[in-house]
Amino acid sequence: MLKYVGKRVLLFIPTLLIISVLIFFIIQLPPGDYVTSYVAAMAAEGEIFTPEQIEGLRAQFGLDDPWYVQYFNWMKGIITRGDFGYSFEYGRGVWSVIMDRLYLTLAVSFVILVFQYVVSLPIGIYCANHQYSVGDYALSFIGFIGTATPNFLLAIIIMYIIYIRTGNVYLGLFSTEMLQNGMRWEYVPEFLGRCLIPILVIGTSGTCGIIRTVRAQMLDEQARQYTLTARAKGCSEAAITYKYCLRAALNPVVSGLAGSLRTIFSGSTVSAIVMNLAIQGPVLLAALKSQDMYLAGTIVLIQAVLVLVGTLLSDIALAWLDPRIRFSERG
Amino acid sequence: MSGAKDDVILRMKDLKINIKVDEGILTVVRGVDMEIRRGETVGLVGESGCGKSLTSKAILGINDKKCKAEGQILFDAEGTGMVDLLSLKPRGKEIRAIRGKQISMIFQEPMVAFSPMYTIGNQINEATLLHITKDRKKAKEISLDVMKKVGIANAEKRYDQYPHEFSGGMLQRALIAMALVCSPKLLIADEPTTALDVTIQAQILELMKTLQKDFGMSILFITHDLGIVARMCDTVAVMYLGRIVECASAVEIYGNPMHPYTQGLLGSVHKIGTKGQKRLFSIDGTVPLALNLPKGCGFYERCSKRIDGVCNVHDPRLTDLGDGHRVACFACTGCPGKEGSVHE
Amino acid sequence: MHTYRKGVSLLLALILCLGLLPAMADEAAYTEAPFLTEQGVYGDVKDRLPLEPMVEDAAYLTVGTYGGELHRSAGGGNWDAGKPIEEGLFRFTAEGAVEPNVAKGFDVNEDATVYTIHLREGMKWSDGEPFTAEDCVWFFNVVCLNNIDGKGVRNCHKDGNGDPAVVEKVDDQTFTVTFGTPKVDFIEALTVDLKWHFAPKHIFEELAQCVIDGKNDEALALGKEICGTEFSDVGKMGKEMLYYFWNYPGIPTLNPFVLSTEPGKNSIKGEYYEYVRNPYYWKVDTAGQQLPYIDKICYLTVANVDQQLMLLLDGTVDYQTVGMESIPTILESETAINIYEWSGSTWGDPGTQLHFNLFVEDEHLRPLFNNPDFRQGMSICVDREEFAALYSDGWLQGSQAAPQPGALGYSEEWAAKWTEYDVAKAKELFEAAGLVMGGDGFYDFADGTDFVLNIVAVADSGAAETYKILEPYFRAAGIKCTFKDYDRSNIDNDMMSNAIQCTLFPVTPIGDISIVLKPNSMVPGYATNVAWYGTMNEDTAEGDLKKLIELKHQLDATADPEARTEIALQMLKLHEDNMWTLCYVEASPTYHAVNARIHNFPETGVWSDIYRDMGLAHCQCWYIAE
Repeated sequence: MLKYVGKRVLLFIPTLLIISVLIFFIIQLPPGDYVTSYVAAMAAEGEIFTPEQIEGLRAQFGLDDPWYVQYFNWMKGIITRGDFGYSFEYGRGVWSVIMDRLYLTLAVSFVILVFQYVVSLPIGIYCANHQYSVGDYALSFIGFIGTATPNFLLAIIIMYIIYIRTGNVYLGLFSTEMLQNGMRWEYVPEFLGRCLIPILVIGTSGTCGIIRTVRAQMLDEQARQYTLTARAKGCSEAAITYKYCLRAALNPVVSGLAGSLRTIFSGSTVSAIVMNLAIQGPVLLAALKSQDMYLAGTIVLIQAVLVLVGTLLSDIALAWLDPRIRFSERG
Repeated sequence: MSGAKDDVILRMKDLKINIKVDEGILTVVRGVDMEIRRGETVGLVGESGCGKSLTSKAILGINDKKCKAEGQILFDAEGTGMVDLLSLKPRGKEIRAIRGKQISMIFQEPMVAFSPMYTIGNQINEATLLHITKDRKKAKEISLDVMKKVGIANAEKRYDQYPHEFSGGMLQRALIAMALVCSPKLLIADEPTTALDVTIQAQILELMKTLQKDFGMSILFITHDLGIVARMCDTVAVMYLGRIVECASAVEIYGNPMHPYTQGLLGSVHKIGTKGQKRLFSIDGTVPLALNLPKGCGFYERCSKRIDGVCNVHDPRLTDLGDGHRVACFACTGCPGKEGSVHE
Repeated sequence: MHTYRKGVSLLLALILCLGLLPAMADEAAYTEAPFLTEQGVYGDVKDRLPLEPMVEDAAYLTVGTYGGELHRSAGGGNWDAGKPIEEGLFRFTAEGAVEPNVAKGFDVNEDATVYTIHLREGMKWSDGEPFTAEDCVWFFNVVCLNNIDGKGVRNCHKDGNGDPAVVEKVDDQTFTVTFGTPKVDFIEALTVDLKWHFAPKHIFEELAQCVIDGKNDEALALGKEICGTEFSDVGKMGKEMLYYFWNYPGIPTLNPFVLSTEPGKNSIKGEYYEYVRNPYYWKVDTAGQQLPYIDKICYLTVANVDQQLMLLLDGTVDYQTVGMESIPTILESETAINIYEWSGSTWGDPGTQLHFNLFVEDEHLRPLFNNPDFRQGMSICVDREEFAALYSDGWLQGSQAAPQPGALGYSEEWAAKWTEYDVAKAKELFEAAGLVMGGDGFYDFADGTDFVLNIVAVADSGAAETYKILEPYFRAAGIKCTFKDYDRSNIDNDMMSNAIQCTLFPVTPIGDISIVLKPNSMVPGYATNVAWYGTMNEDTAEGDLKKLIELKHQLDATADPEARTEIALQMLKLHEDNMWTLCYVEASPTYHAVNARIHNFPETGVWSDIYRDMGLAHCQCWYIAE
């Protein structure tokens, strides 16, 4: 097993290098660069730059070098100093910009992920155990709606309903008071209420897939001989469902976790913008639009790393879950 | 049914099993009466689809939800005396206390009978933990013990291995171990050797015979292999189209088959020593669907001894012809007179 | 006896005088906000105010009460937070005149070569350190001349030959600015170009010296000490800390509100930040209360512009500029919000301005665009009445690209020039310009080349909808058009490389308060993002455009105010004669949606960058009362 993991980790390096080159190349591909968007933004506020000043800015940011030189410098910084570069937009190191929102993003995404599985698994099991019952149809229906409706639309609808009812627009996770005074006990109910919207919106989008997968897998497993054996042995239905069927049914679900590590890091972007969540997604979008290259490049690179790590982790988890996979690896 | 009532541990009375399908209701088992005595091996023989598996699974109540059973299955349970198994809730505590403990079952394909996710030891031990003791150490000892008893070499090592690391024969031994760990009164064996090759078959059958003597248990042996029946069984019940058509001791069945179906079955087995290249006898026709069954004897269409106006009108019942040899056939027992009442 | 009576009279007189003393002292008493008194660290308000604080006494103001917080939503922009609280040496009134602000006043010598600026005695920075002429002089001589703030010497400090002025200190309250050639408009130019003419020397002296000496690492370390941010290089740092100084905590200012130093509330890139009242603010109201009334301006960052309106509606945010389409929604909402209408300063509504790039490189298009017949045709082929009704739901009237009523150069004829609706005449004009009707019903060039008018605009600006209304008119007149809207930065890129042909809703609309003060949009060569003259400058301009630029130079060199107005009018006349840009609807006012609990918001005003947009609303005079 260790050798396997070691081999996979070694493969990370060339994969990441190739990805980083691609990322960097594509980000700087659109015409213009950060200075262009910066000058434009300033012009919108009434500040005019002369062409000499613009050239000066370019030189200052190092943007007058060809892209492979910039890439090389960036890579050199990462490898030798752990320096991910400088964000033009924020005027400070890329890492500090990412750290700003990292904890909140991780927390929100993690909660949403847990919510997804906590809700979907029991529903999937229930639907399998009560196949074709009213409950099965009703829950699947709700799941389908959650997935079919675009997240941002759902967010807007929920916010609208809340506005009509209460006259308040619960935009963002924190109210002004919370931002001013820090978190206090009396704010917790409102905070939970505010959290509910993004959790509902983003969480429901993924639940349907998991529900249907779990349901199908469970139905498959329930038809297998070993459930009969277990029943004949005197096992309770609960033991059969959870000890035997569920473990086998989890195989595709665990595979699906591979991509969720990356999602935890950046969070959902469009929903975050609509609901004004201060998570990483909008930062990446803004960085891409203004060609703040090192920031955008670093975030995407981190996402790539997380996808690789996530895949590896889910492969390991699968091997732990299903002994048959372990066995074939040994061969 | 005649015969001594003592030592009867299982008695099926008029067991009927209906399955609801889209086309209607399938009556697969149409009134089965059976007795199993202590220490006895009863063979249940019949073609595929005659209802043997359903009958045996109905004892433990592990048939699919779509199957509805009627009638009675009386079992001499430990401590509570005769209990109607069909009256117990299929998911309830009472039947679960009986399953695996007082009545065990082993199945046809040992390769899929175990869950691939857990070690053999874990699964065998599960039965121990469920029914015998909650002490993990003690339970493991008991489980290892029974594994050795069924002839699994290197039991300690095998305990921690997974099903896919076992051969077919080894798995069947493990399955038997799991079934026997609680010393059940009755072992139901649903074609346990069909999926194994012949040499292993012989070993397993030998094992079962030995264990039966050691544990003093009864076996309900379901098979379509008449050779095995001859080796293993004390009593044989022949089932056709959801009904027992003949029931007698093994000697009687082989020596003196009365029902035309039994005669046909025995005739269609190639006997060692038969001279010449006689064509293998086969019964005319095929088993009719259990849907829209015609009135009268189910074997009517294929029977060489059928009596028009009798066999296709009235249902024959199992009648004792002496020495515990029971047949359900008008040609053997005579036409229904004043005493015989007609079944629907 | 006589001595005794005399003594008693004297004693009585003395007692009387003593009794009057407190009353006299009371007359000069100032009061401060409870917010400051409660903190108990600032001492007497009198010590914090200059000897003669400036009094905000505009007619529309009422004396307010202390307390409360102003809530705004922001997209994180610099100027959005800066312009409302900016305090320059002088400032503009709504009528366009210059009045004293930080500076008490100025003197100028006869030939306008030497300006003497007078400051207020006893004025302090927001950290309590004294503000003197030293800060002003040091700022110019060290920061500007060495270009530490990235802007260097502004145009206002350059004389007719382009040489920088000489700035010298006279005493703590006085400094002089001396030019090589007469600089008549220095004070106006200063108020437009530079606004402030100072920086806290006591904070930046050491840092600036390091920069000049080339000790970059030390300078960066100092910068980090001051405001907590680690900059990548001294150029960026100088710009951020000395030009965008209000964006960083720890830099003292003269503004009414200063960025909070509390962690979590002190970064304009964060989700939430505050500007807190300046305890040393040097203005009072007519009742002697130290301004501002409001304790804090709180900014909530939003990801999307639409969200600002939502927050306004539910009362989370107190103030927002809004488009007229939002007004019905606002008036319907339960929150009490007042709408104030200020006039705009552009020529015609920016959303309906059509700019042809007169410097376009295509050889067919360039002569066509420069031909007034073509432009006239494009102007008169649109039914302005109908268009205005469709465009603005009847709020606005049709018009032309021309100065607004009340602005310099306004004339009814100009505003109505080429505004009749005459498709037949348009077609005649197109043909006079050399276009030939093609078989497909659209005009082509005389040599057979297909003529397509490619119009571009910034995405999400509303130009797409406007184009949908305009295009049928063009089509009916035989002009084939295409429309593309795309990202702002890409459009700017194209503009800078002169790749744009024609824009609708240009990034820089034409027109501003004064062609003299801010010529950028009206005279070629003064800016880089103007669509109608592309990358044209004085070397490449021809004909009347060249003349326009020459007049601008002339203007810069002219001293006499009347003569200057004369030249400005000539420049405007050139615009009127040539009609280089077109517009279809009058300029829409700027609407301010202000929560009813905010008082002292000026009901009328002019929205212009020269007046610092919202700065004209003087938020230091706003007070909150339910």
